[in-house]
Amino acid sequence: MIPLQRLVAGLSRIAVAIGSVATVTCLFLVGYSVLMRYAFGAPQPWVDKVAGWLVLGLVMLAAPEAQRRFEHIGVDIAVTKLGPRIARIAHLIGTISVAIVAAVLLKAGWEAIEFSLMVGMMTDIEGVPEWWIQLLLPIGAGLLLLVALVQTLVLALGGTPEHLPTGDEELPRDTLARGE
Amino acid sequence: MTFLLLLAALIGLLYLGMPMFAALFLLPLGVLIALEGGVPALGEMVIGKLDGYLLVAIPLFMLMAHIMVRGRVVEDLYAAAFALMRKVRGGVGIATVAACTIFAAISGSSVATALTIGKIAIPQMLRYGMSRRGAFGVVAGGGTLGILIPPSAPMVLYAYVTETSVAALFLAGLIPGLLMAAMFAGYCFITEGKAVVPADEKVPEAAHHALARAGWSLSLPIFVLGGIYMGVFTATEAAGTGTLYALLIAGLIYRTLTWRDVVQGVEEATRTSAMLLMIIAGAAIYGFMLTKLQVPQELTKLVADLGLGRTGFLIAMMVLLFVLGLVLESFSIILLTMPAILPLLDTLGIDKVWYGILLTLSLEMALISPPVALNLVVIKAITGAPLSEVNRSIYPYMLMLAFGTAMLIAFPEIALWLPRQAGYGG
Amino acid sequence: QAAVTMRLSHQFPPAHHNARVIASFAEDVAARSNGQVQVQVFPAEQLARAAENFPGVARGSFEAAAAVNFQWGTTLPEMNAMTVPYFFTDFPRIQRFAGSDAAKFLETALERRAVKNLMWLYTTRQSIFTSGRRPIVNLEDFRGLKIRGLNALTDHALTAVGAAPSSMPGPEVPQALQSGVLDAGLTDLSAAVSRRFYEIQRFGTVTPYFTVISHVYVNPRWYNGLRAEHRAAIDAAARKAEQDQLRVTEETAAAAVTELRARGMTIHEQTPQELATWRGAMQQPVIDAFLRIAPEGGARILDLLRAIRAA
Ligand code: NA
Ligand code: NA
Repeated sequence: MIPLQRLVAGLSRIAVAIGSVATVTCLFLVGYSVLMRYAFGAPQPWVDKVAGWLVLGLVMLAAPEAQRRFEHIGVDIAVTKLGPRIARIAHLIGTISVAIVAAVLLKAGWEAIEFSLMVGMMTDIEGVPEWWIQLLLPIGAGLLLLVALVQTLVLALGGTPEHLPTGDEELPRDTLARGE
Repeated sequence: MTFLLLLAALIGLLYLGMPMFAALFLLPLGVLIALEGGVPALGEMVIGKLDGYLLVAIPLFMLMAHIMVRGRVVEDLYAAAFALMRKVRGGVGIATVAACTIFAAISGSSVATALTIGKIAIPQMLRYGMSRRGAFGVVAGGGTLGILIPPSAPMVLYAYVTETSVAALFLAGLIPGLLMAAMFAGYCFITEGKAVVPADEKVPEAAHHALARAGWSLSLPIFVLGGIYMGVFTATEAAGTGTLYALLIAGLIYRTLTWRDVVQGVEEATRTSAMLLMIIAGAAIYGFMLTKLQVPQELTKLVADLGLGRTGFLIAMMVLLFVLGLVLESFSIILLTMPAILPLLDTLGIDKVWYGILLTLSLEMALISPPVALNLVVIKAITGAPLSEVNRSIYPYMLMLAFGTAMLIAFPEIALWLPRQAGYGG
Repeated sequence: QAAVTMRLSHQFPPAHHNARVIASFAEDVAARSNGQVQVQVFPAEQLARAAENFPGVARGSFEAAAAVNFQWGTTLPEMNAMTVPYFFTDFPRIQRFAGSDAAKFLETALERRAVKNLMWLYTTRQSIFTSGRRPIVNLEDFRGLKIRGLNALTDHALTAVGAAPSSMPGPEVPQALQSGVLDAGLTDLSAAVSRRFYEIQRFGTVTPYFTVISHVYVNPRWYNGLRAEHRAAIDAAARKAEQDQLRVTEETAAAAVTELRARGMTIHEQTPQELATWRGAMQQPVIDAFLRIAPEGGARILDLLRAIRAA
């Protein structure tokens, strides 16, 4: 169990690192586009498009790590108060539901790629086929599926996955980011 | 009725332990599979919703706030407000409101505002002899300004789902935000006359020194909002240039930022954006289901049959939003209601920017209305006070927010004047 | 109770002239089929975003959608042919487009992309170049101008005359024009009215810059599975909508010029000499780019469009 957990955690850490690079790239692209427009009078319409892809990338690549840390927003505050048994069942329902969604997205991403290859779907940027972008969906969903499955497995075997909320936390873990 | 049924089902799934994004995917998938046998272009829909230039603003605004907090510029902001206000009647409370207002103009989050300011301000207020209730209330209430005063994460989301201009929304939030801040400050002035400078107070830093140190961080919101107002950049560009500016201030001028801070800040901003955007993707499928079930049409008909009219509809919505606020968080509230009522806003001739500000006010209310009230949980976490005591502190602020909402329903210009000055809308 | 439901997703706001024709089409289908076929129209991207319409229809998530020709981008590059500047903008030729060989060529191309074309909806042939400080009349007026472009393909025309086209979401454009982030706007004539360009721009040059033709397409499996009389009702209503749209669009454009003038905009309608100058500078760069993105059918569709005679 432990080696599997480690492997999946490692993959998830690598993915979130790449996702973070996407965020930084977004930042510099937006800065570059403003600079080019004002300093050189040369707007860069492609930046908008590429920045959009980077957002898709950072979401799909960071979602598995958010799941590994049990950070995805829910009403966990209420559930964990109901005792360890019920809390465990609630966590299981949580990880299983994420695994199902991830599996559905993996399949949906794959089908989207098949379709866009069949009709030759292209993006707005010359020479970039749509499936290059679409590939991010099954990659992220696949990793999310792995993370959620490992968590489910550990919980079902009576273990405690890493970062499982104990019910003692009063605050959501990443308060700054809560868009509330 | 279908709408309320679906809402109830969704909330049920959440209370079973599902994360929001998973529930938002699974419920409509279940419904659509039952009705039509599947959701053929699901992948394209998810990708289509996430691949949008407007959404770029979300990670960037988060990054900006992370950098400002990790650069510890908040301490300076509070010190300046405190140095300026401490001798005024109720001044220690007013300084908290002022610090919340300024921090709100840096971060798009209320929880972050309450937490960051609360940690520094609550001990100070108690030392000055402010009542515990008064001190808790002003942080929880002042914290809500985080989403009304721009930048605001919920407004970016609202703009995205309703195709409104983010810049217009940001500008529309500014005056109501400042008015609410003034109301909070006035309340401190009236009720906290007993709070005085303690006898053993060391002479604190002179106001102008503190201001000079806080000057650079004060210039950040001016840079961001000024840029949006003058039309120098769009909201996304404001987020990007604002973040670069924050890096410059915290990294080069204050030198309070380490590489480690930056790396961690980037990763956290990325992770949280992923959490929010997964919810957005799920909400897309949920909205698709609502539209297919013709829920918006059903609601439009219902409003017409009841003869509600514009004001009646708005009041009904504020009540519904308040109830949802008891169990759900801000993003979900926006994503669950907007797809259903968007066509109605057009039918009733309700300005989407105006409605966006009303919605934000009701989200602020949700943040401080028990049982699920994050800002109150924040106070409890900082102070260790029992939740029942914290809960009692908040009623005056709820009343002020309700009053503000009523004023805004009566006088839309409070919100709409500024964006019109900047050239948005007719 | 209807036997067949056809869900039609499109991006036009309900007041748009295309949306009005589509709404009448829905009523017409109901009437012709005695209520047996119900067309549920979802305007303004209510059901799906513009970019999601094609996979949605092709894969059977809903039955029909409308698109503007150039939205096919490089996925079906031949659809861009009529947006080549000053290439296919005479109204008599546009009137003959539906049913022409050019239209059939595109319909075949659409079928290879797994959708069946139902009708062509002529959307505009008149653009307006708007500006605040001075009118855009001569080619020199474009030099250094920050202007909102339309798409990568037609932006070649603007860069060819020295302008700097930038892309920007629709809702941000008026403010960008007012603040000077953009110097000039380029939009469909009737959109200049609906987006209230007259409040922020003093000058407008009206020119038959390019033609935009929208269309409604359906899922072929669904369509082929319909009963013959239902299909006949839909087809007949579609042919009527195609004809109605020609008149509605021309009327909307004519009313727009009057409205913009009444609202105080100084409108310049291009003289034939000016038009020839603009065409000379702007057409060829776009044709070159078009042939590059449409190496297979690009030349053919241009020939087929040229072959449509004015009379
Ligand atoms: Na804010
Ligand atoms: Na609440």
